[in-house]
Amino acid sequence: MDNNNNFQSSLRVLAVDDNIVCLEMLVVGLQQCGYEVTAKTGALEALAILKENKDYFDIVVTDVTMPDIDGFKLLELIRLETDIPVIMISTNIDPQTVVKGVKHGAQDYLAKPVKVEDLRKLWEYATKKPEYDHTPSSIETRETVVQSLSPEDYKERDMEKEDEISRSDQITSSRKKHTKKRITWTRQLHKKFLDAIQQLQVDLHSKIIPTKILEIMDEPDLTRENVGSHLQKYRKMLAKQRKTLGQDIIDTNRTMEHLPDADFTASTIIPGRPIITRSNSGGGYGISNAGQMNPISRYLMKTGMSDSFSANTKPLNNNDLQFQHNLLHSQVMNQMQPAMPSSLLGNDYMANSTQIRCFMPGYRYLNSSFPPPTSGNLGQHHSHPVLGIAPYSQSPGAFCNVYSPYQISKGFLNQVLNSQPDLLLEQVGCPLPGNFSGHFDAANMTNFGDEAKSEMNECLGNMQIFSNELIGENFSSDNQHDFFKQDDDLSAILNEFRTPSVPPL
Amino acid sequence: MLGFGAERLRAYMNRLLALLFHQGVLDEQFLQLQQLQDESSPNFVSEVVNIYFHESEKLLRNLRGLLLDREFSDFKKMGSHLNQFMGSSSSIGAQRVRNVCVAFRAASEQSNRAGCMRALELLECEYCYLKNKLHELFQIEQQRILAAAVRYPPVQHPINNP
Repeated sequence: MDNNNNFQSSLRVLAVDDNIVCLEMLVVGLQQCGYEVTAKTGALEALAILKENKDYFDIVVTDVTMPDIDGFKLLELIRLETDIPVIMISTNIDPQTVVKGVKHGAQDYLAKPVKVEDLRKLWEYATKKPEYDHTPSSIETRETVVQSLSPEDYKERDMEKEDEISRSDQITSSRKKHTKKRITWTRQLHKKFLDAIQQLQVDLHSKIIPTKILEIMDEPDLTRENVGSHLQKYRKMLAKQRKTLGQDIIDTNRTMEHLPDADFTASTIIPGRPIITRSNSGGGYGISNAGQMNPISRYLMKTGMSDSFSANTKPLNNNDLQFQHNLLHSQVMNQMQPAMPSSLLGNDYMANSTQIRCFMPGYRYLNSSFPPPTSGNLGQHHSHPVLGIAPYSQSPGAFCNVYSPYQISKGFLNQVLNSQPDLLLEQVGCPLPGNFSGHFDAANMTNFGDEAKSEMNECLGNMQIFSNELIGENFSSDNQHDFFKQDDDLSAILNEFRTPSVPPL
Repeated sequence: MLGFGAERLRAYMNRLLALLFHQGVLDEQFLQLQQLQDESSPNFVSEVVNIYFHESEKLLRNLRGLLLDREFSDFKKMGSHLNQFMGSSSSIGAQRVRNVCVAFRAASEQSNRAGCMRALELLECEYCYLKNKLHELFQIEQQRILAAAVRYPPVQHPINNP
């Protein structure tokens, strides 16, 4: 090959990924960059072909999680044989894994849906001599990778920053020349650094500045500039981590119910657009729903009316809405009140009430004590009046036995809430203390945006009106049980609200 | 149908795509996928997506099988299935499916079987929706290509010179 003239065009890449879809994408992406690609789905296969043609490949691009041997092991094995540059790609980009990859000698670590722009830069790695002076645990290395800057870039930037920091300090320029040698931030050193920061944080009056940290750390080899630049990097890293934590990385310490919040809200909230359903029978893509999916996405589930399911989409019935809207709140209350005695609150009563599902993103799968909803379960609601739904307009396919949740606009939900006290009953499901909203503990709220919070409060406000009405009622525990059975999601949410301090009746 | 203008079909396709983006079903990775399609691989998108469907259905079957097994305890295996699913979903830009996978994986890491079951239901639901919509998209694409290829012979006006 004419490696000399145009090495980029004939860069020979070995791509390894067990996931065919990803591999396909990767291969086409690489081909579009003009590389010559050999694709393998198994790490062992890849290793074998690499051993056979030791000098053929210029670079290896490998996935991290693979069934036979994982990317790290593969990397180690490749390192034993040759020093061919290896790029790792993975969906998992939490810092530990990235560091682990670099520790094993990876040239770079890319997040999984790999961008073509990233692939275009591959030849740079192939021509660069691998640098092994990085100490594995150095925080510098980690940052280099996370920001996917080449070490050179990074050093340059560091110097600039150092200049900025030391502008006030006159001595530095002379000192700097002596300290050009690279300081490696080992784990111990970094720990000391963190301790120093912590110590400074405790003392509110002292600012966290490099000089003080240096004093506390008491390391002869370190200079103020070293600490200064490290501090900058550390802060940057913190900010970055905070950002990514919010979006993607799952905090494993938290329990299930908090987990998908960020992801779900990110994917579902489209602020300021009311969701309105229109069925578009001719066009095929029935609902242009969407709209203001409330951050606490509320899904209205219509049950019964199986024929409308087969029709797949059903426009909201304006008359119904109008009707509900026109009911005065007090009127409704008066009418409904007599119907409330606890003896009526059993299944029969509930069976005639409208079902509402309050779907909060985070609370979906919380409680293991509730049986999973099976598609069969849904059948039990059959005689319920229809509130207006449209599941995703889909033709019955392989998995269509699951009804799609459908989102409604906030206004609509409020109308429903305001006009249907029994709904609330069902939502509440168990006697509520007057300070119901107080049971929303702050931790649960933190994941929602401001918009979400205000909506939640609104929703809670509505609930509270009714709950006050209901407090007087005594529910038997049997009834409670029935309510819970009615709606798993709801009951799960409600269970969340019930704190041990509220005695079950 | 052939007479149906290619332009109109294109507009329709764009609307559908916009809807899917709006709903968060797809993300920009799907556009990347479309950009990878060129003359050398004219059917790249639908090929990849079909592979994706094939793989995903296999994975969903496996996941369901695992969960329905009475003496099930192999959450690790489930995790690896989910990683696969996540990887491929994020590759084609199926954002919502991927998000459900994230939740699912979290449930499996906690060995929360009920949570897993719920997540599976939701996953199937999202997957089904995605599949239907993408099929629809490809169908319109096919029609559009057909429509674009149609050439009507110029209309011959009867010559009636006065």
